[in-house]
Amino acid sequence: MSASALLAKNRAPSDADIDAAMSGNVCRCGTYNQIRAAIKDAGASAKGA
Amino acid sequence: MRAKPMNASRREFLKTSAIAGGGLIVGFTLPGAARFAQAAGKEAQINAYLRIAPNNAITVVCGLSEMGQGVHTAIPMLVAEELDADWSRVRVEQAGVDKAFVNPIFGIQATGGSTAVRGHWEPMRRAGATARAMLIAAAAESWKADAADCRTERGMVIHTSGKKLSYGQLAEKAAKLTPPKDVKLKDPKQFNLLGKSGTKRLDTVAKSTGRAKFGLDVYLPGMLTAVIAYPPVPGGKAASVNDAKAKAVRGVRQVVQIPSGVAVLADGYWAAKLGRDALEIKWDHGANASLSSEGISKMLSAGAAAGGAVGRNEGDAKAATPAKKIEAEYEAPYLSHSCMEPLNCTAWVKKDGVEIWAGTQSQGPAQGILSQVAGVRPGQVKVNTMYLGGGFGRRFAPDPVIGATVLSKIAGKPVKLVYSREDDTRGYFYRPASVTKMTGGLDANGVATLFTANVASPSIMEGSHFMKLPPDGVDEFGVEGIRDCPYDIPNLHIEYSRQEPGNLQVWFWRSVGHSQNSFFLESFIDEMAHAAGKDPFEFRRALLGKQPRYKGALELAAEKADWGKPLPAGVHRGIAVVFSFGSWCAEVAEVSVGSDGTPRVHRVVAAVDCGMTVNPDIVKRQIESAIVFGLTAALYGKITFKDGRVEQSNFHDYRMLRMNEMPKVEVHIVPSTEAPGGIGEPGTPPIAPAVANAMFAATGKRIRKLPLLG
Repeated sequence: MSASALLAKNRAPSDADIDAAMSGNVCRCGTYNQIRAAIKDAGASAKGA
Repeated sequence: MRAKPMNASRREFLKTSAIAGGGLIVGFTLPGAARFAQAAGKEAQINAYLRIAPNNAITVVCGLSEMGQGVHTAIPMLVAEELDADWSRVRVEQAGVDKAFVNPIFGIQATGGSTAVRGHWEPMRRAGATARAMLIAAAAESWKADAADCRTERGMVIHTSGKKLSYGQLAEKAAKLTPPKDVKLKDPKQFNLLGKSGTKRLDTVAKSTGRAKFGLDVYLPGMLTAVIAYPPVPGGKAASVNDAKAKAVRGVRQVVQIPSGVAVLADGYWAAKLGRDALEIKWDHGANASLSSEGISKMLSAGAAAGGAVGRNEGDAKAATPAKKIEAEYEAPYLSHSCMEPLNCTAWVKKDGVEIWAGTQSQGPAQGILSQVAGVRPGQVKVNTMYLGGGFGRRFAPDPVIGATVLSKIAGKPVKLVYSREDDTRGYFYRPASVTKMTGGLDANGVATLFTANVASPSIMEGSHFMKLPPDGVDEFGVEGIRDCPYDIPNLHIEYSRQEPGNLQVWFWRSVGHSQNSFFLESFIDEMAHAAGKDPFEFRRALLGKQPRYKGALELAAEKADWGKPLPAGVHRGIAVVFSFGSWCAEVAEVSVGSDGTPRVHRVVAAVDCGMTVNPDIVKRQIESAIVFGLTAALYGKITFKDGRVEQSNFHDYRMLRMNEMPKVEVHIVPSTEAPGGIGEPGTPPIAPAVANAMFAATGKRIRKLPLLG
């Protein structure tokens, strides 16, 4: 939901944008770098839509 | 949970044996075979681990628990490789409890200790290879051809003449054949799947779309949800309970006292929670009413000073007369696992047995334990293993499954027991605290000649209730990571002093003893390097001449991290290398320290030698995950006591690393043709010392007590 809200406003977020939007979400499995990458992928694919 | 090498008798468990009922299995006598056959429907049950449908869909049945570590992909890959299956047609199914799924390393059906690939590397490949041989035999019979003229490729048997039959077409016939006794496994050079990146996880879609069912997702008709009011002080008991207000809460159905506390059963979680809040309980706090972290530290420190049972002794540490001697005391706190999915179990005690739904790491033991709790035979206990929202060792413990079963028996209905975040954080089963005193000695040339360590900590072996301290009195988990000090130091002496402050329930926590002992050893070796005036990487390297795999991992991490080359102003490196769970892992952390002493970890470069890999993408993710887990604990993790109570309760005071604190992580795999090592845990131990050593490089101040932020 946080990622979706971010992408609704900003289709090409920077790492800092993502950190700011996602730092309220706790991940215990250590996937933060993959979440960052996934948000960028999702933003890029949405741009083409 | 100690990983023992698989021996021949364990391998015997895969001996091929026919059973009654028409189907044939690879494995051994399988009491649940009828159930498998029934579940298979029109699919052909080739063996206990494998079904093939007429439409060529292949189902691999996995007895291990999926907690995010990727076992539901790795196990099918092992089978699929030797089967020459079409990976796009492979799916995975969670097994029930059955002898077929006993973890060969543990001897019980359980997941932990980074054993999944190590334990199943050969048996699961053999299961695939045996099935492949049966499919070839079925094709050869159909064609009245010689099996030697048949080969397999992506789910097809192909004859030299060009004739083809798919596995789906052959499965029914193959299942009726006698499995061959000796099949040849592939030479690793022939692998199509194993060791190659790009094989996608089988659970990704279900988890991304919310279809995956975790324990907490289980809802049964007529089910009650329970929470328990636990004694605020460990070992305490309810002296008196007034439940009038609790019972007045809408939706609360029952309040009962059970050994672990006072349970409130309600129509849903929120009603149960409100009911618990409304309980009026007078607690008898027992012996721990004044338990404090200060007292615990003192007790452990005194234990370390006094020493204890000798765990290792080489040369003559007492007689050694080094030119330079350093001494230090290190300390690590209790830690909570804090699985993201709150602990839970749904149990239904019926007339003819018990059924549970749980994200558990230990379904085999659970079956035995619950048969005693409910007074039924083990075969009458059915365990449905759900996805685990994190395990980290915590879900090896049976407390949620026992609690739910006790409550269902009392209520006569299905009961889901749920732990709130506070219940979990304050629910013990902690990584034990430890104090360790070390001495190191250097000769006139700065070469290490002496290392001693006195470890004082609670015993996980005794606390586990399924192990005992060995006759030498040394808890293997208490000293692992320090007793096995790999450095070539002639005078070496390790002692273990068992201390049980408050008789707290301690438990296995991802990487277990290495989680603190590797911090102690790898920080202290850094101190010795500094005392010798030597580079910490070169100092270690020189002492690892007889340890090629330690050295290989260390050198690869240093090379990839550009060890010795300049960094941006204010950024410093620290290094550590650890062997655990069959794998060698070195990590270099790049850290800057703010004026207030707060570290910022910019990048971690890891190198792991875990032998041959199954799925290198998952290997890299596991190392990264283990680094985040270890870094979170290194920076923030501590469970402390005051007046007998745990001071932390939730994520605001038991901090997790957040995305804005996440370093870049690079993982490099040492190429290897050796047997696979574990991968779930080995990434955790090196990160705390790597970061602490980088902080020392940045500030000249050595931090000897975790967490690093105090």
